[in-house]
Amino acid sequence: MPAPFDHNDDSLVVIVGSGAGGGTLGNQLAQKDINTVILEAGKRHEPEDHIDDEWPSFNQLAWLDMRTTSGNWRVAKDFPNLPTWHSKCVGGSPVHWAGCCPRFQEHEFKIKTTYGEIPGADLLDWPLTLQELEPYYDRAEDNMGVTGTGGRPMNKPDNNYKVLAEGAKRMGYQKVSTAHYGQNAEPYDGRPGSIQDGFCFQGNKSRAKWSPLVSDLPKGEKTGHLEVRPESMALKIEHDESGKATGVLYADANGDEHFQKARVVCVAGNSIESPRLLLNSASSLHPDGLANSSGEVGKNYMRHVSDTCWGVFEKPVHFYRGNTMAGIVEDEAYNDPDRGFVGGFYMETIHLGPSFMAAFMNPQEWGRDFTALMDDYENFAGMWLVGEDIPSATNRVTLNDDIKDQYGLPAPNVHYDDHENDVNMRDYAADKARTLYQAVGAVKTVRTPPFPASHNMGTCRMSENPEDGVVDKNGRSHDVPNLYVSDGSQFTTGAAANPTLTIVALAIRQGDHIAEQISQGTL
Amino acid sequence: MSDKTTEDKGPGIDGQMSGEGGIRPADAAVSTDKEALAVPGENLDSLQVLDEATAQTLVSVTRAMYPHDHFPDKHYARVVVLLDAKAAENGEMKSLLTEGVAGLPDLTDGQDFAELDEERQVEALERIQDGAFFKAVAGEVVTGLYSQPDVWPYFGYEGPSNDKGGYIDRGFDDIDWLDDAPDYRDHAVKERVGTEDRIDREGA
Repeated sequence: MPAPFDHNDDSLVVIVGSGAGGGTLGNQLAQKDINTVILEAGKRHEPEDHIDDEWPSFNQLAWLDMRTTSGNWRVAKDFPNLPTWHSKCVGGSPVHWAGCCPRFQEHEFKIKTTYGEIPGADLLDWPLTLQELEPYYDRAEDNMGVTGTGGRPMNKPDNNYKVLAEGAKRMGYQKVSTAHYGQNAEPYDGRPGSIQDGFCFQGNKSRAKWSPLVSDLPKGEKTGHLEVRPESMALKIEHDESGKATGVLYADANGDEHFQKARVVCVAGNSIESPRLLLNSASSLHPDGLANSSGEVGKNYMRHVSDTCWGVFEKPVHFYRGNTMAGIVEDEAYNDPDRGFVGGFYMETIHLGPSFMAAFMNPQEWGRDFTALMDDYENFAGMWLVGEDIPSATNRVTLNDDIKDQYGLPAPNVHYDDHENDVNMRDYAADKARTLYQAVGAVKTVRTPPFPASHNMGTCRMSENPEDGVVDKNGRSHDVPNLYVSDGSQFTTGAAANPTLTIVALAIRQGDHIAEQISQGTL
Repeated sequence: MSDKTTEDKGPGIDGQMSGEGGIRPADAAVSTDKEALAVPGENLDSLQVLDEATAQTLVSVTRAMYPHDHFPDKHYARVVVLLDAKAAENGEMKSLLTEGVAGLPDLTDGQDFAELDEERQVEALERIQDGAFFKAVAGEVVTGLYSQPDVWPYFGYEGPSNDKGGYIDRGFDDIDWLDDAPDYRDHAVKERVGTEDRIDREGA
């Protein structure tokens, strides 16, 4: 029987979340004739309905349910209820991502071995190597149409990139390009080439940008084996006395509860909702949360070292014209403790419209100093510094006791303290960024502190040993044999790289694994 | 995100007051209903709950907070209309605004805020910049002023482009001064770093 599927069909794979992890996985399984339901909390907004205007788009696509924050990170002061900007819609956070796709480097899979003991850190190596993931990176890049890979052309240099490139040249940087980017330069896979419309963060009306919404989900639905069920908020995963997951309790658009039976449950709600769901699924057998015998669920939340540098020049740049992040300098993405920190970072172009510039450039500033900067908007260039942050067990997602969301579920709290390594890296990176813009004529620069960025990783990490993490090298729970984590929560390290490509690669690999287990009768 | 009625003020970002911490533009944006996100009206003599005198004072306050000399008053008036709409839905906000404005003469030796020069207006506002009234108003200006499509030309911003074929044929790569751009690495550059003097340095 083709989709849609019945609540009582316990032969289904049920995936929570339709983003880079869940959406990719859903299609992979459907292509292998495995009946799959994706429960997506958000609505389905097709690209025609995307809004090229920052605040209305944010309201349309962002996850805005109640959350709290704590810790010494700047976000807790400026944006206490918005720890991160990610999506609540069919297609997940790739609907609003920009598109940078670096691969992890070899050492970034084994930071415990490479960086050694770091006080205040909880380093662990992945139970997976770059070599093992490489064939899946190839497939991920083809799945997404990443430019500069698989014979695909690169995006053309836009104004913001040209400023970065000239500055980089003067600094002596060599690895400068318009990036391996998840938006077509030329038509590919039934989707057009980019028209450089500048609204990557606001969905993508043209469909040039990859996301599950415009790619994996319609492909999966076409097979008849995939059902995407929007406005379905997962509340709890149930299990039987043997400890096997039996299905997912969820609330529909009216708030009515339903139970979807499952043969396999895959959690892909992004790194705040995934651990939250597991913690909210606590039972007498799993008093600390489902699949949490290690105590690691929610811990080691990573968000990347993040800083932004805006350069103000004497002549116009018009940096808002063009792809939002198709520009990268890779020279600083290596490990050398002599720089004062371990790990590395990328320098990536970024632009914002006046709406978001005013809100995020320098929160809490006002008066003529602020407005003078805004008045220079036309002469702005911008870059975002994204680097590896240090996993720490106290950086974590926990449940609030007394603050609940609209479903009556305990709201998540995100606690984050910067590690000294993070601060040192960020300061070094900010200095390089400022110098780069000076090298090409900036008369002013603005250093924007971390704002709710969109990289969330690590809260259900992979580990070799069950005491150290939540899932194994296939993303399978150490505790619950038919429960998987399929999103960036699996990450044992954050690397310097934007996470989407690696999430997609892991999802493709997990799809192969689940299909194999099902055909062997072990799932 | 499901639509919220005025009664449905349960958990969720729009149940939170900005006064708890920082300017929370995200709060201001998400609590604004979709109709108000279209360019709001600028008519100050038919507001829902704020009286005209209060509203006029708020126009001066918002301009003093975020002065753009080229902007006619109407752009600030629209922000006040948004504040009024919030006040109509939320009694706490109404009190905050009304009492905040009523308290201004205490900061200005009894003089009318709107009559003062900008320097004295700013002095007065600096004394209350960490309070709930200031933050509520500033948050609304940040999200409500710069998102008006007819202020964008003042910034040289061309806005949505999809209907015009994007920017690929309209100057996405037209920058032409880079080869001759001066190298200012020996110059001291003016760098603003996240309101250092008011906010603790992160991680320290």
